[in-house]
Order: sequence, then C-alpha cells, then structure tokens
Amino acid sequence: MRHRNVLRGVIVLAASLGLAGALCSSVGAAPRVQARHSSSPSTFVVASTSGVQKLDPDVVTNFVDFQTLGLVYDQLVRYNKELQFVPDLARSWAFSKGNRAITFQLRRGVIFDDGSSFTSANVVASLNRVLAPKTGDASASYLSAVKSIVANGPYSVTLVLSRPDSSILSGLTSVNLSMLSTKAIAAGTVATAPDGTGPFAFSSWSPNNYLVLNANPHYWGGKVTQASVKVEAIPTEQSIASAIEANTVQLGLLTEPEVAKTLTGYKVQKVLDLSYRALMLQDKTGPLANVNNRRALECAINRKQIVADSVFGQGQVVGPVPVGPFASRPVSAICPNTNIVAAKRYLKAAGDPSGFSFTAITSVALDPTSSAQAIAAQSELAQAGIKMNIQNLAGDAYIQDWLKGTFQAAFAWNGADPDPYTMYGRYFGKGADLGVPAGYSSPVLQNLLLAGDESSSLTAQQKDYSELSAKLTGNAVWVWLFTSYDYAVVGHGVHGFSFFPSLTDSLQTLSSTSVS
Amino acid sequence: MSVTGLGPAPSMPGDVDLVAQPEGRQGLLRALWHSANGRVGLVLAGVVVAAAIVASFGGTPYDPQFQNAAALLQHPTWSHPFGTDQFGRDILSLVLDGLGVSLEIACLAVAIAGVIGTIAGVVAGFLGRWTSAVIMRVTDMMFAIPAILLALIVVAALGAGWLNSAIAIGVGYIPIFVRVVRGPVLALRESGYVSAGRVLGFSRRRLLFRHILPNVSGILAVQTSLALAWSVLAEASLSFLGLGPPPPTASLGEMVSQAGSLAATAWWTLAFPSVAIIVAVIGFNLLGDGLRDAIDPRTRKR
Repeated sequence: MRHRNVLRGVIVLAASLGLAGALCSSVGAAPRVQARHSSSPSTFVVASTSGVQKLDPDVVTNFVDFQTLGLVYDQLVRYNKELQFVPDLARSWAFSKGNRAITFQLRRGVIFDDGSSFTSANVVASLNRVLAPKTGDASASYLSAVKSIVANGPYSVTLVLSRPDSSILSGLTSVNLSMLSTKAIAAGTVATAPDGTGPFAFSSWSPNNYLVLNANPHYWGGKVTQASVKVEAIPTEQSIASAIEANTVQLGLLTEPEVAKTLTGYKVQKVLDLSYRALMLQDKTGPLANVNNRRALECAINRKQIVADSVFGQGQVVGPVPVGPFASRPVSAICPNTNIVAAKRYLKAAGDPSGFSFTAITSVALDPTSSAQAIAAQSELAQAGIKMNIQNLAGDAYIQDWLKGTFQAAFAWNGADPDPYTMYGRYFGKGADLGVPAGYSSPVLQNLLLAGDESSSLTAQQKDYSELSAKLTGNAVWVWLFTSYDYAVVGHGVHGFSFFPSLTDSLQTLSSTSVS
Repeated sequence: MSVTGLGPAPSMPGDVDLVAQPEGRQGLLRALWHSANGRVGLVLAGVVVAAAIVASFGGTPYDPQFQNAAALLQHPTWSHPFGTDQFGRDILSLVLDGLGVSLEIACLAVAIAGVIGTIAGVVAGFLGRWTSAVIMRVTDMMFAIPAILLALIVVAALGAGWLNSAIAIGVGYIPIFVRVVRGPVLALRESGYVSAGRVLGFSRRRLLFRHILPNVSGILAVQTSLALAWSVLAEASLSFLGLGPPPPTASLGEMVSQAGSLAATAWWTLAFPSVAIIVAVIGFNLLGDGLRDAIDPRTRKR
C-alpha cells in the first residue's frame, strides 16, 4: 500500500512537473515540428511572431505583411540603408513646372511573374488603383496631390500635381504603392495571387500562419540566390530563438532585447527601425473626448520608465516625428517628462478631479512588448487616479478593432518616415485614409500638414512641422511613447543578409543571401 | 456499514459499499493523515490555501502591484526573497496574490461545475430513461471537446476576465462531475434502504436529498479536490495565453508568460511562479488521492 502510494505520488509529481514544464517552455516545440515538416531542406525560413494576414499590397497595415510583400513587389523608388532615395523600378526622376510635376524614367526589361512586361501602363494602372476609393488603400493620401498620371511613352510617366508635394517620393517607397500587373488588376486577383516584379514570386499562403515564395527567375536585379523563402509565424520570440538554435529557422525577426541577448554565438543585426510606439486615443466619446483628460494621461505617463520596463532601455523616448530633420523637440509640448501635479491639474480642469477609467487594447502577437508597456503605464496612471483597463487581443482581432476605431485607447506600433506628411497625412490630413483609427481630426492639423508638404524651404518646413508636433502633443491627440530597435537574428551558415530600417525594404537582401 | 447523514440506516442486501465513509469528520481526517498521499496533499494544499488567505487579507510583504523603478530584475535577496520582476515588483507578493486569485477562480469554477454537474448527474442517475439519455448525450458531446479547449472557446466568446475564466473552466469540468455522480446514484437507486424508503412512501425529493445525495458526498469531495488541481492549472494556462484576468490582477500563468523571455537572464522571474503552480497542483491532486484512500473501505481497512 505504502509503495503504491509513493509510486502514485511520484507519478503525480512527474505529471505535474511535465504539465508545468510544458506551460513554462511555451510553444517552442510545436512550431519547430511544423517548420521541419512543411519546409524542404532548401527553403530559407524567416520567423516572426505574426503571420501574413493579407496579400493585397495596397491595403496591408501589418508589419510582417509589409516585409513579406516587399519581397514580391517593387516600387518606383526605395530607401537605402541610410534612408536616402534610390532608384527601384524608376531609373531616374525629375521635378518640373515649379515642383508641380514629377517625371519618372522607367527601368526596361522588367517582367512580372505572369510574364507580362513592366511599362508605364502598369504605373498608371497601379497608381489609379491606389486612388480609387473602392480599393481602400491604406496610403492613398500619399498621392493626395496627384491630379493626373500621364504616360509619356512606354517607359516614362509624369505625375501631375495640384500643388507642390515634397513627400511624394517618400510615399512612393511604400508597399502600399507597389507596381502591380495590369492583368492582375483587370482579373481582380491582386488580393489572392500576388503578381509582382520583385526577387521572389508567390507560391502558397496560409493566412496568419505562413507564406511561401519561390525565386523569380526573371528578376531584373540579378540571380536570386535563395530557391525558396518561407515566412512563418511562430507565436513567441522565445520559440523563435529555440527554432534558430535548432536550425529550423534561418532568420528570426525579434523585438525583445532580452530574447536577442540569449542567442549568443549568433549574429544579431540591430536597427533603430522606422517605427514608433504610441498610445492611440479615440476622442469621440467617453472620458477621452475631453482634451484635459487626454492631457492628464499624457502628463501622468512616464515614457522613460516604459522604455526601461518594456524594452529594457533599448529605445528612445520620442514625440510625433521620431527621426529626420523634422524630429519633434521637445517630445511633448505640455509634459516632456512625467508630471503628476500637472496631470491632476488637468483632471481638475476636465471636471474629473478624482480621475477616470478607460480601456486600452494591446496585442502581444503584433507587438510582444505591448503587454509590458501597458502594465508599466497602468501603474503610472494609477498614481494620478486614472484607471486603465487592459484588453489583450489576438492579432487579427486587434487589427479589425483598430481599423474600425472600436477602441478607447490602443497601444500601437506604427510605421514611421522621415517625412511628417507621409507619416501623418493618412491619419490627420484631409480625407485621411486612416482617419477612423486616428480619432482626432482638425482643420488646423490638415493645414499644417499641407503647408509643410507644399513648402520647398527646409526652414519653413521645420517651422510648420514643429508646430504640427506641438499641436499633436498639446491636444494630447495620442500619447507618443518611444522608438526601439528591431533585431534580425541570423542562423549559422547564413551569409550576405543585411537588415534595413525601412519596413518595405527590411528583408530585401534575402535575394542575395546564401546559406552554406 | 454506516452511512453518513442517514443515521442508523439498516444494512440490507444490495447496499453499495463504494459510498461508505469513515465515521465522523475526525475519522476522515485520521484516515486522511494515515495515507501518505493525504498527508503530503493536506500539507501542500494547506500551505497554498494559507498563502491565498494571507494575500487576500493584504498580508503580502509589499503591494504586489507596486513598481519600484530602482529595483528592476533584482536577484532574490533578504528584502525580496523571490527577487523582483522587470517592473520592479516583488515576486513573492505577486506569487502570493496570484495564488489567491488562482484559488478564487478555481473555487468558483469548481462550484459551478460541482453544482451543475451534481444536479445533472443525480437527475440522470435517479430518473433514468429519457432524462438520463438526454443528459448523458449532452455530456458525451461536451466530453468530445477537451476541457481546456472548451474553456478557450468559452473565454473567446465571453471575453477575458476573472468571472469569465471561472465560468470557462467550470463549464469544461461539468461533464466529469455528471459522470462521477451518475454512476453511484444508479447503484444507490437500487440499494435496499432506498427501495425500503420507496416502499414506505418517501417522496422523490426526500429520497434524493436525504438518502442519496449525502451518500455521494465522499466521491464529490474527492472529485472537488482533483477538480481544484485541474482548475488551478487551467487558470494558469488561460492566463499564460493572455485569456485570464487582465492586469493588474495578479496571475501565475501571466507571470510565467511574461518571464518566458527573461528565463535565461533572470531565472527567478520564471522559477517561483512555476513552483507555485506545481505545488498547488500536486497538493490538490494528492489531497484528492488521500481522500479517496480514506473513503474507500478497501484501502482503509488494509
């Protein structure tokens, strides 16, 4: 009897340890098995915590969608590693008519995956598709100044502008303004069967799970060294690290510095990426409709502490414009640093001296650091009497709520750009494509954005965009938090990969990456 | 044989031995203490319950949610025996608080499963025929879905939160209670003293509540203890997946999840919440085993 009891105790102990172990070790094993079974040995596997959600390059908003479709599609212009414009499908460009027209000379000998040649007709069709309201392009505002798109011949296109538009080139670097096949547009297959001119051609896709690409044999940029690339979702960064160690993943895209740190012996490329974290606020209803409540929120949040807690200090506190010649200085017009006294003063002015409560959404699947940001902010806001409830959502649920604006506040990870109009024209400009998730709108912001975009003088632009930053933070439209590093962990034997800061181009060197 | 709650019920041919219990509470405790499993289970479960009570009455060394910017990721020290996490929170306080929350959810979940499952099981066993058929087919359908998956579905439908976690876990455990209760009730229904009661004209209600239900209480106690263990683990799993009570409610599963990326550099953030889950699960499991040994006359007599 005693032996049986002891044996039973040992079994229960082993089972419990096993269960707890399984709980603790996350889900590392499962994705590894999946990767091993679903990839051929020659497939180069790129892992990210989120999977590709949509295939239409004009409507994507998810970071990994940008990165992956950036391998299939080309744009007219792209950023290099130093964030300078370099030719892509346009060999050269020139402004004319007092900056009211820009003419592109196109690359010759470029072939789409469907076998058709790239010409000015593709530029006209692609950009008209962007402008068509029914497309729902997330970045149509990048072309808000475009009056007409005129083909000057098979390899020359002019964009006629209604006003000078200094941000036009930066807008044209986005995946949202990719060059599409006219056949695919006519057939209505853009959202289901990507057909581009990039180094890789679409092969297969399982939404939110994986996407497989094959080398494009006709790529105009030269021979593509990888026969096949699979972009796979592995739900946690620890699991990605395990997969790298098991050599079932060749490139891991990480955001958590503590995970990257564990991969000793691997090459970790770190870039201060073109993105920023912000607490986006909806100002139409509830306590956040009151500007003073939003200001209280902005003053109560300790951004430096959020950087310390969520990315272990590996980031920079920023204002609305994080990088470039128009970077926001100071980061906030009302509270560059935490100021609980000021927060309480604003609460009193709002008529809520004892504080208020609201709910903020996060998605660990889309931004693994968002939960830590929220927990840190929750504690700080409580000091001012502001109660923030946290609701963590799955990646696609978060994106749906975000696009519909059905949230009070959202911890968001948004793409950035050195050009403020490119960043905020689509949120706060006239007819903004993302005006719904942006919440706040005002003619003052629209005019400032327009003035900065039209100006050809750097000094005048700096003045306009500095005022834009001041208005955005002064009205606590959102609370801008920080920008941080992205990490690309390169597996053993992988050569030639270089991680780029711009989302669209971040994986572009995969075409010349080799595995020994 | 004596039957708890029935007084001097006559022993008749066909009486069921499996519901026999040691005489009185003291007898049960003594029998429990004599079982090795019961002893260890009682101690571990006692420690867990005591920790939960301490946390519920604010007896933690620090405010579990207090973030000390000057003490991020500190090793275990005398001032912070379990160390601190990435927010500078005291892990011992968080673990105690998390145990309290886990137990609250587990108790409510087991109460939901126990009450609904017992009623359904008793009704199915006692009434039989089509009532039993309907209840058991529904139970079979619920059994077809793994309990944790059922819990995930319920949380996905209701949303994350303290109450919803309890409901989700409770729903997942209902079919087990139905099955566990129905079997003994089927046997008891045919026992001599119930037949005698029927002959004497006792109402169904009296037979159910005074003569049958008290006799399955032992089995229910065992099942409750085992269900508590499973519920603590289920709650931790839901929280690990981000479907448990949202912050600032402390949760062991959420702590394990947060600590996943820190395991290599700050082992204590992962170790202590994990150990707390393990202790709670083992404690309630062994307690359940011990109770079963104590109640089972075949084991008890040896």
